[in-house]
Parts: sequence; structure tokens; C-alpha cells
Amino acid sequence: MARKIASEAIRDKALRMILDIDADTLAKGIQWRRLFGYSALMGLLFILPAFLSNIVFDWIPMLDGIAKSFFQWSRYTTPVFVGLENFRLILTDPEFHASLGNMAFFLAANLVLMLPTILCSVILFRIRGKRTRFVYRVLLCLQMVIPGLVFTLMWIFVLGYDFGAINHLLERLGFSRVMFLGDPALIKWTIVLTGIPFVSANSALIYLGGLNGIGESVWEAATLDGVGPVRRFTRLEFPLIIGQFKLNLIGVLGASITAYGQQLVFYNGSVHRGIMTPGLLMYFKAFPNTGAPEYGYAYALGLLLFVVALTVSLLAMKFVKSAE
Amino acid sequence: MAAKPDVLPLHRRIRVRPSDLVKNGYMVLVVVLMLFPLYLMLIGSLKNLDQILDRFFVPTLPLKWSNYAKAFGYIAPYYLNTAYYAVLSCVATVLTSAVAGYAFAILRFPGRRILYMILFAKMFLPGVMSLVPSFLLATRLGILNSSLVIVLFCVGTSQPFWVFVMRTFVEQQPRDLFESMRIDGAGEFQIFLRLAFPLLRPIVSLMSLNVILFIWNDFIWPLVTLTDPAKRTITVGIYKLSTAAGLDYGMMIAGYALAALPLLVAFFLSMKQFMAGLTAGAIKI
Repeated sequence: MARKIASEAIRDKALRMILDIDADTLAKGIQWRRLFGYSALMGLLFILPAFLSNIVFDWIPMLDGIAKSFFQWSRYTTPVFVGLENFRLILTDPEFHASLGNMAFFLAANLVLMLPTILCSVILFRIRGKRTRFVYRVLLCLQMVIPGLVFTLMWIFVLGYDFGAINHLLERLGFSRVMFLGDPALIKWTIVLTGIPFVSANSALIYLGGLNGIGESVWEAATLDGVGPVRRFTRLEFPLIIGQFKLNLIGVLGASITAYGQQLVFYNGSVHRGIMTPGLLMYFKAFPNTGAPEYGYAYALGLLLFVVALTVSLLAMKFVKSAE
Repeated sequence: MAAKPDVLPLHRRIRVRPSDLVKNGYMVLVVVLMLFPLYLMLIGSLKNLDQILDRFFVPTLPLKWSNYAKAFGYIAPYYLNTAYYAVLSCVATVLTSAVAGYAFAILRFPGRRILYMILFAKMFLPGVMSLVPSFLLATRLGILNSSLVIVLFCVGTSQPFWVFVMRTFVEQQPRDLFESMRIDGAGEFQIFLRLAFPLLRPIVSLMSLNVILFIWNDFIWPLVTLTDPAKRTITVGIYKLSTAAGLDYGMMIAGYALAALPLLVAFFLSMKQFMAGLTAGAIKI
């Protein structure tokens, strides 16, 4: 008897959830005509374009990415089911192994380089004068308005071996030229160093949002207690923006694990091994410079990256403690 | 905005402390380093080959304005393409997510909560896996090398975040507003158009800004889906510019500058809206 009531309660709850009605309406009995009345139909009509476009152009590619990871095909062939063969190919591929090392390098570098942004946000927050702060903020935000590609292409031009201005300068100062873009051992450092001054405007805005949301009384109390600038950071500012830190951390983890855009712009044949990340490997399997695409491999690698990125960000969400 | 005097009265001027110098010095260093490539771009775009090779880091005379004329001839079609894709994407995305956000907030209909959760869940899933399947979907739909491949995928993938923002904003408005119009016998579409959409204006403007910035700066997706040179966007155009320019580096750098210019001009013309829009966009989950 009790079980029957419990199952009915669950059924009622599910019905209310699905049909979007309250308990009273359900108790009076479902009136289907009213349920699909004018305003309900309009509601469904209103969400239709958003929902349908999201299903077709966002959900379906993702689900297709999962399902077809177990198939192999190329541009003019039909997909053939191969079970776990793609994953076996990836995990035994020396190119994939090499790419993991590069990924680890970029991941470590990007994690360490979260610090300059935090520092910059806190210093900007502490600067007196509303107008001064606004001017700095505007200048930082220029980075978000200009395509990132413009910065990268400019760096590539400046760092070139034969015509690059930096090599020209080095030679004039009596040093030998450096293969910033052509040396597989150096290219990773080149890519990281072109991020100078390592401040992400986007992340800084997130931190500043957090810092600005903290009540004035906290800072006043700290000043009265004579808290020094360093302790103010370690005891107050950083703990209070740990939520924002978590958000940015998840962003950095996901972006570093799946990164390939910037690597693609820096890519050239001679640095192949030094620059290949798993994301770039996925890209080149689907869009090879020469030869036929291996879609199965690309799909499976995409799925692997998806699972790893999702797991790592869930772990970060769980283990980095919030201030609450 | 009330006009403020540029110079504060003497007695109110803030005393400069050593710590202020350190803080401002640090910020100036960060900004200078960050904008250094832009400085090189601006001076480099006005140099001829000799000036680029010999004196790259300092401004030189004479200024070679013809670099811009040549680069513009090459870039102009990509400008038009990108502006066209951006405007279409912006209108389509804003309309669909505004109307959906309104419905999720105000109207009641079967499936409301479940459909919303399906949209919302997509916000937390990494997008890396979608590139290749999206490309193959676009291939199968036959929309490669058309504006649709940019617009439709932008509309689809933007919904989770922006429907969430729109819904939250509509929910913060007093419900009576919508009820009273309904009692007056207005149709749902009229309520949306005449009441909800004007209320949503601040969100609409910052969303438009984010969508346009996204389309303007996007690189990989247009690179793989718009292989026809006539259909390229501005980023793909400047990526391929080095092959077209050969040794004409001045023209190449002028092309980079032209790619950055429209948004820079827009940024300085409406700084307040831009800053609000960028800040809101930064809070994306």
C-alpha cells in the first residue's frame, strides 16, 4: 500500500514536471484542452527556433561525435563499424604519445601563468581613483576587441628567421639568429612567450567582478587592523575570489587540454613534433594537408578529449574549496 | 553622463604615495607589453620594405600610406563577407534567444522545464568534440561555403547561455506588467514585441556585441567551412594574406591593422556599452 502511494507520488511529480502544472491543477484532473491552450501553444512556438537550432547544430554533432567514434570512414566511403579499433589506434600511435607531452607542457605553463592575471586584477582593484582604474580596464579590454589572430600573426612576423625584426636586432647586437618558429624544441616556448604579459583580460574581468562584489566594510576593517599588502592578498583577496579562481581554472584546464587553434597558426612542417597537441592531431586527421581524412580517428580522439576535459573540470569543481 | 571637471581642485588632489607609484608602474608595464604588438603593427603598416628590415621598432618617415590602399583592395571583400555573416548571426541569435527566454520565464506550457534543462545542460559540456561532426553535418546539409554555415551554427550553439541570460532578466521584471497587458486582451506575440523586447534592450545590446565580436574574431570554423576564397571571413583572409603578399610586408601588416580597425573604432565610439558588454560576456560559464 505504502509503496503504491510512493510510486503515485513519483508519477504525480513527474507529470507535474513534464506538463508544467501545479499540484492543484493535477488534483482536479488533467484538462488536455486547457493544457494545450493558446498561451501554451504560443510558448512552444516561441521556444521552437531556439530549441530546434540547439538540438540540430549543437546536440546532434555532439551525439554523433560519440556514436560514430566506433566507426571508420573517409571522404567518399561509408562508415564501417569497427568497435574500439579507433581507440586502440590512438593509444598505440607514437604521434599521440608525443602530443601528450606537448599538451602537458602547455597545461603546466597555462596553470602557472594564471598567476599574473590574478596579480594584475588585485593591483588594478587596489589602485585609487575611479577614472584611473577605468582607463586601465579599457586598455586591457582592447585585447578582447582585436582578433587574437592579429596578435599571433604579428608575433610570427616579428620572430621570423630571415626577415624577423628580433633576429635582425640580435644579429646587429652580435648574437646569432634564433629559430624561434622552426626549432621543434623551441616552438612551445615561443608560443607561450608570445602571451606576454600573460594577462587574460577575460579572466581579469571575472576576478574584478568578484572583488567589486565584496562589501566595503571588509576593506575598511582590514585597514583599521593594519593588515599589510601581502597579508591582505593571502588572507582576504585571494580567499574571497576563490569562486572566480575556480571558474577560470576550469576554463584554463578545458582550454589547455583541448587546445589547437594557436598551435595551428604557428604550425609548419619543421616543428611538427614540437607543436602537435592531441587537439591539433584531431584537426589534422579530419582536415589533413595531404591525403584522405580519417574521420573515425578524429571522432574518437575528440571523444577522448571531451571525456578528459569534462572529468578534469568536474574534479576541479569538486576539490577546489569555495569560500562559502 | 554629467560633465566632470578635468582637474580636481587643489585641496582635493590625492597625495601620491610610494605604493601608488608601484601599482601604477606595474599596470603601465602590463599595458605597454600587451599593446606592444599593436604598436609594431601600426608603425609597421606604414613602412616600405627597407624601413621594415632596417628600422622596425621605431617610427620612420616617409609614411607609406599606399600599403593601406593595397591591403584594402585585398581585404575589402572579406570585410563585406564578415559584416554580412555577423549581422545575420546577430539578428537571428538575438531574436530566437530573446523570444525563447521570454517564453521560458513568463509562459507555462508542457515540457517547459525539461526542454529548458536540455538547453541548459549544453552550457557545461566541452565543445572540442563538435568540430568534426559539425563540419560533416554542414557538408551533408550542403551549406559549406554559404552564410548559412556560419549563421545556423552560431544560432544553435549560442542558445544555452543566452536563453539563460534572457530568462533570468525577464524573471526579474515585475510579472504584473505582462499580466495587465494580457488582461487587456493583447496576444502573446504582441506582448513580447511591445513590452518584453523593449524591456530586454540592455541585454539585447550586450548580446549583439558579443555575437558580433565572436563572428568577427572566430577563426577555425570559417577556416574549414568557407574554403571558397570569395566567401572568406576577415580572420581567414589575413591568415592567408602572407601567401598573397609575398615580400610586400608593409601591405601584409596594413592588412592585419585593417582587420583590427573596425572593432577598435566601434570600441572607442561607444566605450561604455562595450565595457558593459565585455564584462557581461566574461561571466560566461
